[in-house]
Amino acid sequence: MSTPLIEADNVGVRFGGLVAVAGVSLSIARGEICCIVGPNGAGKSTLFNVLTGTVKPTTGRILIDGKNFSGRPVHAFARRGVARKFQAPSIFSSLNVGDNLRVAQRQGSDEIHLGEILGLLGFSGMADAPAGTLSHGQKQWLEIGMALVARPKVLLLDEPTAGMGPEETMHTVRLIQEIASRAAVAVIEHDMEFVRELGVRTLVLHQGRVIAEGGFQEVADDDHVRDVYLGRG
Amino acid sequence: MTLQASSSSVKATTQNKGGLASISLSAGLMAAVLAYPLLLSSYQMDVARDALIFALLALSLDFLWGKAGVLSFGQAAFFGMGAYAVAIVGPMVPNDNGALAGMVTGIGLAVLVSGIVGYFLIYGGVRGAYLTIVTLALTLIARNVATSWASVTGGEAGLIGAPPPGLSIGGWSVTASDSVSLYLVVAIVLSVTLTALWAASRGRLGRVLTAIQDDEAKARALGYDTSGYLLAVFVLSSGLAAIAGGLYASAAGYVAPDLVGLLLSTQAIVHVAFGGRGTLIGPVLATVLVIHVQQEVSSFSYALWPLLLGAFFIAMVFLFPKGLLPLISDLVHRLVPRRDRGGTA
Amino acid sequence: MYLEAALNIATMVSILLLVALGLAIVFGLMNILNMAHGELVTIGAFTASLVQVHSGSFWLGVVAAIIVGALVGWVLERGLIRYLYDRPMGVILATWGVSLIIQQGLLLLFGPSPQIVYTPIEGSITLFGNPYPRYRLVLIAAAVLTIAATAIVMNRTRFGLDLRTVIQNREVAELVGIDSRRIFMFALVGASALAALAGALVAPLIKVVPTMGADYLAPSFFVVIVGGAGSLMGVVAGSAFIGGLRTLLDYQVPTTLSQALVLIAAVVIVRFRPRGLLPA
Repeated sequence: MSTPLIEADNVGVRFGGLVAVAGVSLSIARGEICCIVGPNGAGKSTLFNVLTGTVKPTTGRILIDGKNFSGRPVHAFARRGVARKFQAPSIFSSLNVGDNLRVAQRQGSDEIHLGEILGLLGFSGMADAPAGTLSHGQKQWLEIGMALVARPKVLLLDEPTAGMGPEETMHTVRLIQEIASRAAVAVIEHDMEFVRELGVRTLVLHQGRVIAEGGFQEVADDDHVRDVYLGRG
Repeated sequence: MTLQASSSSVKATTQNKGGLASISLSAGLMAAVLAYPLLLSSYQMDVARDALIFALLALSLDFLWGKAGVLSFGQAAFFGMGAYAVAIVGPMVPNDNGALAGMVTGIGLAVLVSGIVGYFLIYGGVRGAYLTIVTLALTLIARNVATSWASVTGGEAGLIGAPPPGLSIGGWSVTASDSVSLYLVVAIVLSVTLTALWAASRGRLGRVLTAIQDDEAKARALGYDTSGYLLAVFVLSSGLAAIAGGLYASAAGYVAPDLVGLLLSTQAIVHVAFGGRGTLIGPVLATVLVIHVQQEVSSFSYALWPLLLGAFFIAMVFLFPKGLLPLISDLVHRLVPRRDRGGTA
Repeated sequence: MYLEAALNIATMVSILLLVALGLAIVFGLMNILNMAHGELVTIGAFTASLVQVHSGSFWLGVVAAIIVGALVGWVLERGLIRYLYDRPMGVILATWGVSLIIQQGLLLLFGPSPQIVYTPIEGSITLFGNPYPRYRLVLIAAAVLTIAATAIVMNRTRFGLDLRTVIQNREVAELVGIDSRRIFMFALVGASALAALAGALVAPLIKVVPTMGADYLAPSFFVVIVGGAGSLMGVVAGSAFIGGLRTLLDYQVPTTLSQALVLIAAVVIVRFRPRGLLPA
């Protein structure tokens, strides 16, 4: 496709003596979804932290929409269009659903766009509901909505289906596919059913390195991947 | 992609209606509270004026503590900066602009100190209890400066001769030196501040501050410079406290170090906690009420009041963490059935 | 002259160490600020004075102060703080209330004039040609002994191991079966006893009045902020920094200015080392 919206160029992260991420390169363009899988401690969350500016890479560069952002603060990443959905649903429970989205909109107010997002999430008519009273799944969707409402260039989703039932998971898959038409999307997931259903480019991390990359089936058939990860499940 | 809309949305709408009713109720109550002392003797009016000044101080704290979640013991320090600036700078300025010049100096000083201290702490990632302790130290130091820098502050005795509020442009000038006009000046400043803070909190700023109190990391991830917001609120709150102090010195005509101690900060905290943190109008009403009770109590035993204050802190934490006035208003709402609720009840 | 300055610094640092030690551990454990900590210093000093006046023995007063301090700490934890573990701001407010009540209670019982405390060890000792009050040397020695004892408890006992585990990671500690609240209760009792001990030891050097606690509250919190919460070495570093700077500045500038300068120094350090000089 066009130039990548987010690009990690040979990124490495060290915490003291521990190498969390070692020389990972990754690029995602608009309309693309990339799934990042791997066992616990593989470096998935650290990679996400680098892509959002929470952790500064020890080596390598992060380019957002073609511009070098290595070492910039978190809010600078956010203002450049990088949005993130945390693993645990993190919404503002003291605000209502609409105000959660309004806070996430940050600049100006676009109530029409807000209404579209509410509809996309399936929250029509619920703008005044206190966010604290939503169900677990609804909170996850609200948080995705909060990422969307700022019209991000890049959306990073950390285990968006954690704690969801099968039906809720399917809703989430459709939501993510809808979002991909507007942005570059990266997803961390443990749930292999979800990754299979999504059926997109998949990146397997192990001990901080990329050990396989390609379509889901291609990756799932890889012997090395089966050894370290899928073989166990 | 369908989803059950929960009944909470319906409930929220009624709450909004209730909100409108309670806003008009609050505004009415506020107007009555402000107007009533004008019917009283000039002594009682002076007492009421001081109560409103302390209400302004409580309001400055509520903006910081209630809206941004930062508990501060530093209000007395900034109040003192305003008060002493008016008492020191005021008399040096010719014609009737002394109080104004002193006030501007005091606000400037408060903004400078809170800006520097706040910048280092808030951008250093200091939050919660640590921040509270530093504000406590600020007040302790301010008190020491007031007592020990006698050549400037008058030491234990304090300073007299702070000029009354006034304004002079060219040949025209006006001063507020009698009880009625002093009271009106204070009442107007308080009303304007209350309305401005209330309006600011209703919009974007209020939402962002609530979000920061809920989950600062998330707000930062959404692109907000949360430290910048907290610093701005801290500086604004300190400036407001300095205005309250400046008004006090200007209206009373003197300052003394007793004024700037931890007790003043403590009382501001009580007024906010009593009236309901984050409600803005609650602390204002609470201040007037609490100061009235304080005078009644102190008239038969001067020593009893600090003990009651202490007991109040403990009772508040356990019995009414959201404030006493909100508790009472909740009870009233529950006991009195409301017409506009009929449909959903 | 230099020796005298060094000894004055050592005295100041010793007092700060005793007051801040328990505070740092308690804060490191649960992120809880006990605003009545200064009043435990006051209670220690009052106890020492009362016991000395009635029995004639200062040292008996010191022992009594430790016991009374521990008791007050226990009552505070059982009666108040244990209900507020998940509400740090609630703890600040409630213990602030306790602080007001203790101050005013002592004022009602004993009045505002200073209590009588006799220096238990009179006279001076000559060190390298300079006379120095013997009692201050005893005070420094007592502080060193207390730190050593605390270090042994923290590093060589089962309780100390549990304590350090909870400070490192409370959730993991609870998973391996450590009762973090029980640890916390003992830590708070110990901290209170130490603060009261500091109050008793410092009593002969200062004015023992009901409001004296406020003079110790903020500086000891600064020790914790500068040094880092939950670590013994952090408290030592913090006390040395705050106490040393204060004493040195007091030679040069008025007390008020030195207080302000120490505050500024602490604030600047926090900007660059948010977790203190030597955190746990």
